[in-house]
Parts: sequence; C-alpha cells; structure tokens
Amino acid sequence: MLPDIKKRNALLRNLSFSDSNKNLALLLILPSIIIVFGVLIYPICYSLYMSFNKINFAQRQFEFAGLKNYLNMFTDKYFFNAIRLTIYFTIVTVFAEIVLGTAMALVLKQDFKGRGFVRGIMILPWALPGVVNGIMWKWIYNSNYGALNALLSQLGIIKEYQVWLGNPSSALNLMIFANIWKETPYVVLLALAGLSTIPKELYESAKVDGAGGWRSFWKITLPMIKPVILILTITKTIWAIQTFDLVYILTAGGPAGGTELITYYIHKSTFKFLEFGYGSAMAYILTLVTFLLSYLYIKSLSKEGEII
Amino acid sequence: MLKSRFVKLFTLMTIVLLVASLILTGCGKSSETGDSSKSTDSGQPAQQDTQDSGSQATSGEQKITVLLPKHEMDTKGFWEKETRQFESESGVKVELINMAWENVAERVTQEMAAGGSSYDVVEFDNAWVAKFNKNNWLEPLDGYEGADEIKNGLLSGLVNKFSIGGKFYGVAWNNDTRFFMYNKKMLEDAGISKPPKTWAEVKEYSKILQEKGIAKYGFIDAYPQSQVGVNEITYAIYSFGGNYFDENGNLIIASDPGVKNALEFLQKGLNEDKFIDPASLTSDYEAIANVFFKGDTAFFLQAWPGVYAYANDPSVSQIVGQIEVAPYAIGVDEKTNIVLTLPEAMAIPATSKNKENAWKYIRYMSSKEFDKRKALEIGALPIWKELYNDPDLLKLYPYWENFGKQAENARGLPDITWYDQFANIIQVEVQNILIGQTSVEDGLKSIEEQLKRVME
Repeated sequence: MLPDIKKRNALLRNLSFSDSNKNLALLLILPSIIIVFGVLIYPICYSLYMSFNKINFAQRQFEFAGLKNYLNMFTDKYFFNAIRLTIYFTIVTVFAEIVLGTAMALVLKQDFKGRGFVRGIMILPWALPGVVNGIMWKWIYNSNYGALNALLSQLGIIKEYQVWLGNPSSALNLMIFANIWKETPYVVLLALAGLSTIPKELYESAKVDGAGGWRSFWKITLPMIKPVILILTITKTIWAIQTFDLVYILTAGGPAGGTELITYYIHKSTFKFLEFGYGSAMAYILTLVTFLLSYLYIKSLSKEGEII
Repeated sequence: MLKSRFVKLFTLMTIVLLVASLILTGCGKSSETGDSSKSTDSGQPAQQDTQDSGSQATSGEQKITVLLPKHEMDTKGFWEKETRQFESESGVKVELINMAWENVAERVTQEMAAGGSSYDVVEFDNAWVAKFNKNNWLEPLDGYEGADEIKNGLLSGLVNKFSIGGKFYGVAWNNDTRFFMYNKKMLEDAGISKPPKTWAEVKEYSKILQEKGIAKYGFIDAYPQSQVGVNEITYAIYSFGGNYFDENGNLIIASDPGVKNALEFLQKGLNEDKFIDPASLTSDYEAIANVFFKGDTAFFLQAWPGVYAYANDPSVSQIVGQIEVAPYAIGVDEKTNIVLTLPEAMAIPATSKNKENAWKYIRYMSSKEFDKRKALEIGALPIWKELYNDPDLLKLYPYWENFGKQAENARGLPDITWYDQFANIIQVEVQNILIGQTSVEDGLKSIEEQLKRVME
C-alpha cells in the first residue's frame, strides 16, 4: 500500500501547476472571462446604474434619481397587477406541470405496446418554438372560427361560440393551459430519467413486505426522484417567471391588462415608453425574487449534503 | 520536453489568435445596413454618390435599409416589386423589411432612441410627429431635390400632418383613411332601404338583421389591447362628438359627454343589447375583415379602401357583389359624421448615413406615376391631389365619389409627445369598461387621473 501512495503523490506533484502552468491556465480561461464580462457582467452593472437614474435616452441625458425608480413601483398599479398575475401564473403552471409530468412519466415507464412511439410523440409540444405555440393557440382560441369553439359546440357543451380571450380570467387560465401543454413534456423527460435510476429490487422487496402500488410510490418512487423534482421546480419556476413570448403572441397583455405578466410589462415600459431606468429597476426586483425563490426551494426541499 | 514546449507554444498561439479575432470582431465596423439583403442583384453598375461615402459596400454597391409595415391592401407584393424596379433604375440596393405595424413601431422607437443608424427609411406614423420632432430624430426633407414638387402636389392634409415647426419630415406612403361600408344585400333582405346614418340607427337596424337571422351581429370592430383598439375607440368617441382634450390641450376625458356616451353605447352594445360581436374585444383588423367577408356582420364602420375590392374577390369573400360605400359616415348628428384618418409616411432618420439614396427611394416610391400604379394595382387611395380627377381611376373606382364625401370630415389621432403612455392607459382602461369590469364613470375618472400623472 505504502509504495502506491508514494507513487500517487509523486504523480500529483508532477501534475500540479507550476507558475508557468498557472499563467497558461489563466490564459486559457481569458476568452471566457472576456465574453462573460462583455455580455453578462458589464450589462448587469450598467443596468444597475441605469436603475438609479432617470434617463432621457433620446437626448442621452442621465439624471441621478436615487431610489425613485424603485419607490415608483409601490404606486404603480400596473406593476402590482403584473406581479399578482405572474405569481398566479407561476404557481399554477409549475404545480400542474410537475404533477402532470410525473404522472405521465410513471405511465410511460410501464411496458406497453407502442411505448416508444408515445414517448417520441410526447416530446413534440416541447420541441415547438414558443412563437409557433403562441400562434397555434391563438387560432385554437379564436372566437369566431377557432377549433375549441367548434369542438365544444359539436359536443353540445356550449350553445354559442365563446370569446375565450375576451375575459381577463378565462384569457389568463387559457394562456396557462397553453403553457402547460408546451412545458409538461420537459418534466416527463427528466422524471423518466429519474425513474430509470430506481433499482427494481426495491419495488420487489416492498412487494414482498406487502406494500401496494400507492405506498411504493410514496415511500420509494417519490423520495428517489426528489432531487429531479427539486431541480425541475427551480428551473420551471424561473422559466415561468420569465414567460414572455406566449403573452406577446397570444394576448399582448389583454384584455384589460388581465394577462400582462411582469416580463411583458417590463418590456413595454422599457422599450415602448422608453423608461429605461424604471424598466431596469423592475428587472432587478424580478432577478432578486428569482434568486430568493431558488434559495428557498433548495433550503426547503433538500437535506444537508443531499443536493448541494 | 521539446514536445511539451511545442504544445504550450501551440496553445498560446491559439489563444492569442482567438483573443485577437474576438477583439477585431468587436471593434470592426459593422455593416451599415444590417443583415444581408433580400435584394436580387440588379446587374447594373453602381452609381457614385459623393455625399454617401458611408453607403458604399465593399463591392462598390450602394445599399439602403427600409423598415415599413406592409400595406394592408398589398397582397400582391406590389411594394416589393416596385422596390426591385427602383433598384434596377437607380443602382441602389434596398433591403426592404416589412413587419406588422406594432413590431415596426417598437423597432423604430428603439432605434431612434438608441441613436442607431441601421435604417435609412423608416415608418413615420401620424401619431408620432410631436414626439419625433421633440427628440430631433428625423431629417427635414425641405432641402432635397424635388421636395417642393411633392409638397405642392400631395394632398395638403398629408403634407401638414407630417410637417411641424415649418419643416417637412415625412412623405405619405399610405393615405389610410377609413370609410363606412355596408352589406347592401343584407339590408335589402331585411327590408331596409338605406344604410344607417346615426349610431341609434346602427343599433336599430342591427337588431332587425339579427332577429331575422340575416346577420349574427350588426357589426364587429377591433377593440383589443393594442394600438388598433385605440384607433377604433377614438373613432367612436369622435363620432359621438367627444374628445380627449379641449382646444387648449387640457384633459376633458372624464367630463366630456361625448366620451361617456360613446363608451356607454359600446359597453351596452357588447354586453346587454348584444348587437356588437363580443369578439371585437380580441380582434384585429384582419379578423374583423374576415368576419365581414364571411357575411356574418352587415356594417363595416371604418373600413380601409381595399376592403371594397377584397369583398368582391371570390377567393377571400363570400359577399361578392354585396358591398356598398355609404355617402356618409356614422355619427350622432350632421357634425359628427366623421371618419378616421391614419396616414403613414416615409422618413429619413437623422442618424442615417445614406440620406441621399434614402431620399431617392422616397421620391421614387411617392412619385405621381408610382401613386397611380399603386391605385390601379391594389386600389390604394392616392396621395397626389391630381389623381382624384384621373379618368382611369374614376372609371375603375366609381365608389371613390362616396369616399370623397365621407373624407370631408376626417380626423386623426391626438398628436402628443407622450402618445405611447397615453395609448397604453386608454387601451387597458377602456377594455375594463367594455367588458363591464368597471362603470363608465369610474373608468373615465381612473383614465383621467392616470393621464394627469403621466403629464406631470
């Protein structure tokens, strides 16, 4: 044993960086540093600077405004409306996608004829570009000639065609549905990967011990795929908060601001009203909330040393 | 050892080359005209333009980039065809970027605010004049060759609309005036001899048409949460004798009886009387035209000129031979029979590096000959005064006579420097009123309070 350790230490000594090798390492990561600084760090710092200024972009005038842009959010009813809608959108979509996706993965894990085909076709909605998805659902929900009205009418569920996107509440919920339809396959994919790592022996043992399917799910399946669900919850929450293309295409925030999620409102304030300072301040608050949520999720769902 | 040194040297050289290429890419002068052109090579020698040294591409070609919405009547690719013709005649290559109006509006505003020079000819909407002038975003066109001829020959309303402070900034490319059209056959089938002239008659006739099962709704209009919605709400307010501002520019929206009456009428029409298609709340112009062409509604309150031709095109319409232009527009009395005019112009950004070539393009695409071809081929309203007496056009479009009668009382959108914020508040809050989430009085008070806050 001892000679082995000596050999290993000698090898490590040879592998460790000399000064020139350290310089080489620095040189190697230099391009990455330049790119990260140029496209990430600098814009982040610059937008932070912008958030403390009242900016007249046309005249290239920056006037220091302190916390005014941040304080203005508290009196902006459109901002509060957007926050309220985004929270609802996020909670419903993340919950529905995780539950549905996990359930679908459990079904697709079973052996049945045509499983490969179903698994393949299941991924299609996720592979669809966001803009295409938005346009497709816009047509489905069309109040005069849409497929949804035709289907429900032919089934006798509705007597007259409905203006699905003409009411804030139904528009928001239908937008959520369109998002769930597109995003759930991603959950299925990851949950399937998680399920495939569970040894069959565990289920066999549980069966011998008299555990039924339901009990096996709660005691074996769920704990085993918990890390995957945690990652999914974090990423899905962040993505839901960042949803923009669906709003842009499907409703443009209407009717009556009923689907105006925070990213859309930030975009509108910044690029349409040219309020770059205010837009930056809102974007920073959004970033902060995203970080906070991610931290809370990790703290609440992971045990010490399990995930990070 | 030698091998190790060689590897180090090779790695170092690779890194240096990579960093150098990154720096060069970042610092290198980018193309002034953006992405690669959609143009086909005209095959003609490029013209030399002493004032336009910035427009010379590496091969010696001259190129401009044009950003305009697509003309709502141009389904045949007329503008594209004429642009290529301009290329072959002038030797100037054109990258023509056509997008939906809302997208163009966003791009133009961002580009102007950022002081970029990506575009040489841009959309200049009728509602942007005050804002663009305040920020000095555009090049005055008065001094360019042939500008006086254009100013004297175009409809004076179009010249005045795009002039401010004694300077002329935009040449109209779309004389977008709206007209009241209706389905004559539907009215005849219902035993109605003439089109409605007042809002009360619109409601009365709509009810008759619906009761007899001739139309699903009297009319559909576009009231979505977008600029389109602001256009149509503004028309409704004007035609009820209302306005957002008084003569001195003071806000009167919460106290003006015309505004209140208009919104009450529309709210009831959508939710209680149900003679207005509720799909109006989510429909854009294309959608409402489709409904009218399918024969589901009888009245098209503010139809653009091309609607007439499309309604008679069997490939897109089921009401061929049924459309008629009324000799008057809808209002509450003689004074309020107004139509909406929403002209759009071509302008040159002050930051453009190809101003002379941009002007050549504008001049070509607004010439009298071009304007006549445009009218003949796609039925667009001319911008030149003289063409309204042109025998060829009058023979082809006899219904333009009624356009003329309606256009006597044409009005545009409010021209204010904070138009985008104004439009946003109107869009959201008026929809709140129309879907019945808030009363007309409360909604109007809320609008006025918010608008005052923005004004401050």
